[in-house]
Amino acid sequence: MSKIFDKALSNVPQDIKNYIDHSFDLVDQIHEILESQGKTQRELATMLGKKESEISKWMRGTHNFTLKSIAKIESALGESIILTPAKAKELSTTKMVVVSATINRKSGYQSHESAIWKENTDGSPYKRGLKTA
Amino acid sequence: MKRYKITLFKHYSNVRLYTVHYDGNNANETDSFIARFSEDSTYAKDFNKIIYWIDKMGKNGALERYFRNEDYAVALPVETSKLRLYCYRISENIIVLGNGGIKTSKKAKDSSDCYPHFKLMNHVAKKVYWALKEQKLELVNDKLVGKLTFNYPDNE
Repeated sequence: MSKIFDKALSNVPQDIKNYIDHSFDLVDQIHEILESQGKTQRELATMLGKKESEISKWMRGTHNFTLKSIAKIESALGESIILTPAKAKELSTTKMVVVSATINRKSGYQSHESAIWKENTDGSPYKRGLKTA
Repeated sequence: MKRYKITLFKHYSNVRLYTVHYDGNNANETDSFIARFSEDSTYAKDFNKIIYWIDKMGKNGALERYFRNEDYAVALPVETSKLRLYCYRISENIIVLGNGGIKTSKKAKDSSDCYPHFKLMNHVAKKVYWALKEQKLELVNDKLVGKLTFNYPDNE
């Protein structure tokens, strides 16, 4: 195995590690959102008015995203990409509410069709990442 | 005519990094790249990004979207940098790392510091591709098994 690589890795400054970690976190999150929405990088490029090659460059894990770019991507996808600890804490105070359920009495088979909505403490709905049970 | 062997560089849980080692050379190509640039302050930031990026690939998997195509091979993609490390992505679990240099022109073939390494990785890519296709080389549990030594013509 490469001792020289291991030594070089141990010398990488923490700020560089943070930079690459954050860039990867962002592109992986964007990719996950695109997949969940059934969209491609090409479609994201169209939504942002950019060339696909530029989006492709962003998604390689070393791009220095600006807040402006992140905001535009979030706006285009309709979902958050960044979650700060404070925001995560705020969201952890949401509660689960079952909206509806149906039971097939004839067959005796219980089928549950329900949309599980999260409700913020102020009563406003929050449905990011929710699935139908 | 030179000969080289594809040898294991570093092994992660789900990813194996290989490198290229010329017969008769003390160091493999990737170690040579690291030895050359680890002390070069001009490209320190970009070099560190490449090193840490390789480690991320090892831990996260070598997803295709992380790479930038350079003919048959790929280049490690530090965006705003002239520093290039060429490699060949066989799968999400196997990469062959090569060597690299400073790219001073738009096309690799016009950059004398990069071009030899670019050509080598493209040669590796073609040889490995055909060896896998002809089953002289196989992927066994994400390991390369079989023909790992190739001839590299001087005029390639």
